[in-house]
Amino acid sequence: MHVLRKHKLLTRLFVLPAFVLFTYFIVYAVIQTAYYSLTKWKIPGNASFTGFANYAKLVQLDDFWIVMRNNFLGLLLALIIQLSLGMIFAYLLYRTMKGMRIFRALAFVPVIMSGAAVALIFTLIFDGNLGPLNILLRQAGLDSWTRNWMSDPVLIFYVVLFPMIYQYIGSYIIILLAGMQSIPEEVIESAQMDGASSFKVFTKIVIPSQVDIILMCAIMITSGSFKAFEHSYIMTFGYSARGAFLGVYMYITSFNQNNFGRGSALAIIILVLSLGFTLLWQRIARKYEY
Amino acid sequence: MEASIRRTGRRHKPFKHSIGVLGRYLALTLLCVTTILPFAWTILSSFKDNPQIYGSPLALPDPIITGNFQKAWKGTDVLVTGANSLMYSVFTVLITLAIAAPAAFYCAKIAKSRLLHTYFVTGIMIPVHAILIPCFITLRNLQGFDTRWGIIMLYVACNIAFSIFILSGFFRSIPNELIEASIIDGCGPFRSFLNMLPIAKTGLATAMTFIFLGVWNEMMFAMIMLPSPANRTLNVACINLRGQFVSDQGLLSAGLVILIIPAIIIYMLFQEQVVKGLTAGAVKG
Repeated sequence: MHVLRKHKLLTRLFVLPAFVLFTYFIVYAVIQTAYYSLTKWKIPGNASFTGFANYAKLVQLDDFWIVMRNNFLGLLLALIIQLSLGMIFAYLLYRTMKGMRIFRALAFVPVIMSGAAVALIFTLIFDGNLGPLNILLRQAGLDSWTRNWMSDPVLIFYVVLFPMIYQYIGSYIIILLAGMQSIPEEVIESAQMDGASSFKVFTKIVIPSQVDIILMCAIMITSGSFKAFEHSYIMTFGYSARGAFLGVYMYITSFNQNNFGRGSALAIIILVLSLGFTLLWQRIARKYEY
Repeated sequence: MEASIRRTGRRHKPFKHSIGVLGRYLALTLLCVTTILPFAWTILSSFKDNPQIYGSPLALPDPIITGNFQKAWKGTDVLVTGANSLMYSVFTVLITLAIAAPAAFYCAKIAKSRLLHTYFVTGIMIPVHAILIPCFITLRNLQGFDTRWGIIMLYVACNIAFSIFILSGFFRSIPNELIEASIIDGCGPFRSFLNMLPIAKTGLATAMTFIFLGVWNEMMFAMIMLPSPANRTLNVACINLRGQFVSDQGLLSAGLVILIIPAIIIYMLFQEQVVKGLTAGAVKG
């Protein structure tokens, strides 16, 4: 817009506050974190440069590898469950005329809640003594199915993961549904006329045409999994390596163990993994663009 | 993507040969019941005393107990923490939009290259953990630690990237002639920016609901940066409530109901915008 470019000084004021805040609190902060990750630093006190000592130490810690495994296993399960259920329910909604909007609106409800609220609700539900899950199991005569969900070292990971997957599945249903709605009507209609069953239409037309949107959801799931915090923090009452993800581990290392150097190293690992996977998914997505 | 979310009206006819109509509605009903069940159970529990909760978890409350709400109201100190949450959310929305809207306008209509736009939008991909420690230190150095303006400034900084991403799309769709016309009418650049704002109002509403819910639901910053009870948010107060009354499920449920009501109200009022904001990551950038 050349008419506006005349007012150089004035128009620069448009962008200045955003630029300053964003650069200082986001961009500069990332650079600072990268520097801190190369230091030994407890508060009070100053950071002293130690090179890659924090990273070298991290890979020797059992907790680090438990948390890494949790993060990747959680990501894998989230991808499989959220994408497959997301596709199935989006397709069912896509095929539904009456009441579609109501179903869609209800499926989205958990997404708007705070992660903390959903995590607290599931803490109550999974409670070994007082939680409705065990009570209902007992009332149904399935006493042998009851567990101490929250204190079982193996189960705790799945107990934490469940509400995370549950809470955000609605957003993927809606994104995938919107993607399906952009398929040209003629394509579906002509397939129907050729006698294709609805399952055939789903596997042969809908899924192939939605690969880029599915990958877009995969990006959202991936970046979400590396940021995950509330559910694990609340459901493990602070921290327990077996139910923790990188985000919680980073928080605990920094703010509970007062190890800001190692915490920064974990923050950089989160950043690198998150950006790395996003770029990987984008690269795969580009292959599917016509 | 944006367009297709809006386009929900006319679609192809449903399959004629489909025998699975019943199964389809059954599956969708099952999905919605499972989705709502945990919240329904929470709301039911909030009106029950402990014997009722442990006796039959899914039964309607009989008699209805309101004591939980009185206790949760006091326990979370709603008048303070709820007001705090509301204040942080509203001010973050207002300040972020006041800063991001002109910046988005600049990126969309004034800047010569897309460089600045790319610079801002890249920020969406940065996980909050990567800025957590420096922000903590910066707030301490600026005397903004445990203050209301400190946390609001941080929330604003964190929401700039997303807001510019949403708004610049709307500003880009404005025809240049419209802006030229307003310049010819004697408006300066700022005046003509203000004249263009109504065109971006869907974008503003989307960003508004997204920021509001994001701040209302935020936990990590609020936990770290606001240690004193006078500045606490409702979200954190509900978590603390569990520490005090670990086995009083009725009380905790009542606290949760108080916490989620504003989010539900926002969702009912601005359903389209909320959905768009929370799924905007899928828009190709």
